Amino acid sequence: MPVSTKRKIVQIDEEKCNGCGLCIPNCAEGALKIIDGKARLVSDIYCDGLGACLGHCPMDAITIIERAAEEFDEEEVKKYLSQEAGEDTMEEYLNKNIKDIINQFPEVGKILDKYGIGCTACSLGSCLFKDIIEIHNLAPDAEVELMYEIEKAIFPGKPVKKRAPKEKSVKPQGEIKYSPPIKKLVDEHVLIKRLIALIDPLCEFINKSKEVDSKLVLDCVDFIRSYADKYHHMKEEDVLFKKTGEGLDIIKVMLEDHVTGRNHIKQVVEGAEKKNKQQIIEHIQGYKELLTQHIKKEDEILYPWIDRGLSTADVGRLYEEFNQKDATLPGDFEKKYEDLVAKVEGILKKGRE
Amino acid sequence: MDHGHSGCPGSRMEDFRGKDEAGSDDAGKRASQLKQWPIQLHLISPMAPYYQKADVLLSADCVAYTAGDFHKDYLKGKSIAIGCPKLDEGQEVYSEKVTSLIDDAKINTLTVMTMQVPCCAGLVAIAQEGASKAKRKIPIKSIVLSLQGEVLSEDWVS
Repeated sequence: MPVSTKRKIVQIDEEKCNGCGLCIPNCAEGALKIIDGKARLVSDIYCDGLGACLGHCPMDAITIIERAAEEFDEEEVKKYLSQEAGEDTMEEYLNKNIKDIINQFPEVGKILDKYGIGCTACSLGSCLFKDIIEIHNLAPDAEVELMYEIEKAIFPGKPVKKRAPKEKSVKPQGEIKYSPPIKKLVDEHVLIKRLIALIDPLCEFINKSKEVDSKLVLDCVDFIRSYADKYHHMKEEDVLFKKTGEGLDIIKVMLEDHVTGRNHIKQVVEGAEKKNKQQIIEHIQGYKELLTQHIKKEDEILYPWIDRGLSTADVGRLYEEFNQKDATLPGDFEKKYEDLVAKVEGILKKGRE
Repeated sequence: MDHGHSGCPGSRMEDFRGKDEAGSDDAGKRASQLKQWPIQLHLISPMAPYYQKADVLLSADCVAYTAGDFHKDYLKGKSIAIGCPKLDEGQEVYSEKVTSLIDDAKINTLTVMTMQVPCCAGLVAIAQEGASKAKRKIPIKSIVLSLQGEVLSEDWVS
């Protein structure tokens, strides 16, 4: 247990502090940092209570008070400052886009792959490195390892230390917990995944049959266009992505997936009309691959990341807006498409027997 | 452990006087974040203007005394109603008021804050019962505090 004695130490008035940062370079110990827009004392042990920071505060927000605090620790300050200096060099890379880093250091792509972060395969890849770390929300241990390996790859030969991850508001948990509006989207994925699971049996069925059962194919298309695209994607495109900002790379990737999916389905319809087996199979398989990845990305990465940024009030408004969107469709809409999936499941099961 | 005197965890005596006070700060003042009166669930009217479309906090009585920063961390930006699911009379009115807050005041969200003691969970049950009778559906969050004010769990319950 560290010793706590009454001594001089700085105090920052949060109300007065405007987060200008003028105090920061004047603290030789690096004890002050701007966190969430306010100057804050990183740790009591880095503050010597001298008050060099005081005179530089235009808002008069910093005062020296006497209170019980852990002793000032010069050794710890030295360690801390050398760590911070290391962080600065990585800081530059954290603000670069990931494709550039991977191009410059191919090893980084392999390391990301190892941690299940698929930036090498991404079509855009212009996310900033720091955003990728935030979006993926790895367990603290894994994040430390990942950053350590990447730093070693970027600075070969430089002694690299493992650093504690940045403080996160929400610690990753074993099971992902979604807020009610996001849970609704995840639940919709469940029915969509049930249809996707039917695509392989459907292709088998088409291959075996003499003539293409256009009606069956078009039933699946109806589900994809009405349930997956209209009902589900409209909540994302008209509400959710509008809130997160459509300019974000991760959202652009999702929107691009939606467009690619629609193009595949257009080809499937054309194939069904022409009774062209190959065209149907090629594009419905393309859709299957696309959506499987798309749903996985949303459930595991995008939605949890969006959720972490939502306040309680945001959650309520999002829920209300989703409900309003759903209310524009007929009352039996969900039931109708659940029945449709069950029907197709029945037909294909029979076809296999 | 002496089970002979333990009895109901809701009323079992505990002494926290030895608790480390390093986290306390006597300097500075905070303004109250309460923007309404009354607050007791029997006394409030769901028709009051400060409940309309609000984010509402339904808090067990003891919560405000255990959470050191109750005003800053939980009350700020919300309208409130309080009650005790263990001792209060006439609790069927409570769930009716929750229904009315949802349907008439059209509240945005409901956050239920309770203590870790088992009987306090009754307040979450009251909220859920009230919500199940409402025509509108809203997100409901349950936050459970330990006797010393730490958050033990924070979950969306509907």
